[in-house]
Amino acid sequence: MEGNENKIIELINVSKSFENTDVIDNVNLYIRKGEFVTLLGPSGCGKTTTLRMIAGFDLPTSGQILLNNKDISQLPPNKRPINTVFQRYALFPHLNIFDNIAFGLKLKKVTNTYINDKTGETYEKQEKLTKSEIEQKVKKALALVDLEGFEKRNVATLSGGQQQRVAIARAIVNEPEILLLDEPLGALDLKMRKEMQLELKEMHQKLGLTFIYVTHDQEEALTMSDTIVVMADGQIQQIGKPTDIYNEPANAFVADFIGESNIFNATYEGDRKVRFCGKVFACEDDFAKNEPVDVVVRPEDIEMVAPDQGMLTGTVISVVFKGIHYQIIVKVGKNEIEIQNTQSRKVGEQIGMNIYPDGIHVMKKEFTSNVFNGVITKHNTVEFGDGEFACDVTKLYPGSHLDEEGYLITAKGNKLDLTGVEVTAEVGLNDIKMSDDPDEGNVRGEIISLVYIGDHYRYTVRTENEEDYVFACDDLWNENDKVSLIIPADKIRLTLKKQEDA
Amino acid sequence: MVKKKKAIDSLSVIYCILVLTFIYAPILLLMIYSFNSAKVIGEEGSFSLKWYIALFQSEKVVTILINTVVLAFIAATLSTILGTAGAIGIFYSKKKVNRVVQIANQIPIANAEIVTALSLALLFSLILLPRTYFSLIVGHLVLCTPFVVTSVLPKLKQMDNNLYEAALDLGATPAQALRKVVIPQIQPGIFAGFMLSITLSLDDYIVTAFTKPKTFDTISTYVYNAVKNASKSDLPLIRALSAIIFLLMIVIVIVMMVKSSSKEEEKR
Repeated sequence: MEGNENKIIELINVSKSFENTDVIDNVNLYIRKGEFVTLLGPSGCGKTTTLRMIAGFDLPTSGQILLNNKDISQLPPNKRPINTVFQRYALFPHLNIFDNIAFGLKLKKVTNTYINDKTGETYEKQEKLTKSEIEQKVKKALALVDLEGFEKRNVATLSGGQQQRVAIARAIVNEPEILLLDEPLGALDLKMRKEMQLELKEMHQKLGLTFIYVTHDQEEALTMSDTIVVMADGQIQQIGKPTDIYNEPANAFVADFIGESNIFNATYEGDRKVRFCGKVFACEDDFAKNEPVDVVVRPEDIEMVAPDQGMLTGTVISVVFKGIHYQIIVKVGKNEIEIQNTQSRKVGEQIGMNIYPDGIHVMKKEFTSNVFNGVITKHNTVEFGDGEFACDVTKLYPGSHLDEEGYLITAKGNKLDLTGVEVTAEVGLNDIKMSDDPDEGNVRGEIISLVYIGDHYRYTVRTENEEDYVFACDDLWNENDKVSLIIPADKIRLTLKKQEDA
Repeated sequence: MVKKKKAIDSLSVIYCILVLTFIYAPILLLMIYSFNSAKVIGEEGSFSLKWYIALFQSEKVVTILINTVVLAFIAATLSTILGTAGAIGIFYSKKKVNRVVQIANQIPIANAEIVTALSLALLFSLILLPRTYFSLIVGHLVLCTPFVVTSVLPKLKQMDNNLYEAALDLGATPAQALRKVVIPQIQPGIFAGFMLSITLSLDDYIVTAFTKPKTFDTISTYVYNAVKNASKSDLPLIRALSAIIFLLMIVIVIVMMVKSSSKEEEKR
């Protein structure tokens, strides 16, 4: 796996936008020959678009795609030595299995070398494959996917799994340099999917081809891949081996997307100590002192002990049997912590919990905005982050307005009382102002960190109840300054909290 | 209750019979009288095949028959090619273009045929195009092509869009992908469009009358002129001609139905 010499395909600064929306934003990625690489991410993250650009169905808006160091960015799909297995198989319904698999072979031209009998000179000729050559190759491909004797069958008579195998045979029979697989197992049932996962992995080892696999199923990615590329919002979040991605996620998104995880807002206390859930824990990572960080703790890395022996104590609020383990949710202060253990606990029981340094992974916090859980008050203001703020509640329901009594009238004319409605409040990094007059702003706090970033300072202000506000400011203030924060009503973006799916 | 249900059942049967009689009685009458020696329907006469014999002996009628069929085939073939290409073009064009062209295609279908015919006649006069076979075929193309487009487009929309990409992926050029994958997929729509064009062209009067050369006649224009000018000698011939056309249509319909039902069984 070492060495960058045998890169088979490389994406350099590739971006793609459809009608002014960026789908892929400056992606850089290379894949080594023979690797099994999985592009993993939620739907809409750009993984399929990336695959389609490698296949040639979509052309990048900017950037280059190199195949064996040659630019193929603008080459049409039929000129690329790359074949695709489509999500819905895309078998040709008017052709039988043989003709489906032979489709590419019949179009292929190979260069044969001949010797002229009279002069003894060699010459080359572009020729189509002969009928028997095609028959042999199709037979071999069918044997590889365990469908011997299916040549004359009609596509419609095959099961989903069999169609999938035909689709794979149809692609690999052309001996491509890279095989692209676009969520090929998505339409199969769970048992079939598990079987096909192993078979694909076996096939990959047998053929020695480069596989690029797209899926949103993290378990599938962890099972099959040599390398996983986690994508979100058109950008690569992390590239790494399955174990690295699982144990050392680069950010909160990756941690949350791969496997079950507890993610905490934390502060790095310096000296390999990190503070979350109101306690200080030893860890193995190094960050700047007082830097706001995210901490991920896997549910299986939390030890359950007697209440007086734990670093944390909490109350069990739910226990679910999951087959191999119990999923136990424990309430610790405001946080809910998920634990996986083979032992069960009773709901309502007080337990102690220990988390050891190797179970704590500290990640750089990537701030794009401040996000708070908030509640609408009866005065149609919003309470979040230890403060109460004026806001525009009509933005929660498009086309709505307020009547004289303060009820919200929706576009359809329904009357709503918003008091007590839970919302998510988002405030951008540049939308918060500081004042040294404690009564000017809506919330008071203390500056706990300031970081100089190029042309401005990034401040973190902590309130009495440990709510943190992060924002940018051009002026220099001092650490431990007591300030109040001003957030204009139009800078608070409110969204309704949706009931989370179980 | 049972009695009431039976009464309703028999009523509905009677209703059906009445409707069908209303539709088919005139045609039946025509057919019966085509085997009758009477010159005018209602006159007394005896069974005879003389109108059929006269029909096939009349050189004029035979020429008109051939004219009509040849015209229908040429018009249907050309409009099928044009309409299929159009539908594929519409399908793969950008959304805005797609919508505009689709609406533009719907207008001639909804439009009164007489308006189409008149506009064509005006256009031909404006560009000093004499009424020839060319103008006639152009007229029929204008008539049929939108129908081909509308019967091919749904098939394209039904098709798995990945099929075309799969063909490209396997090394086909866009032209090869079209020929080997897209066309076979939309073939039922193309065939339906072709058949629709044939029937449209076969019995068209208005557009034909406005675009045909003076000396040229199809069955429609011939029958219409014969009835209008009341050239009594031709009228009984038309009975026989109508009977033949009707029987031919029945045969075509039955054949198509049998074909499609056997295809469905094959699928099962």
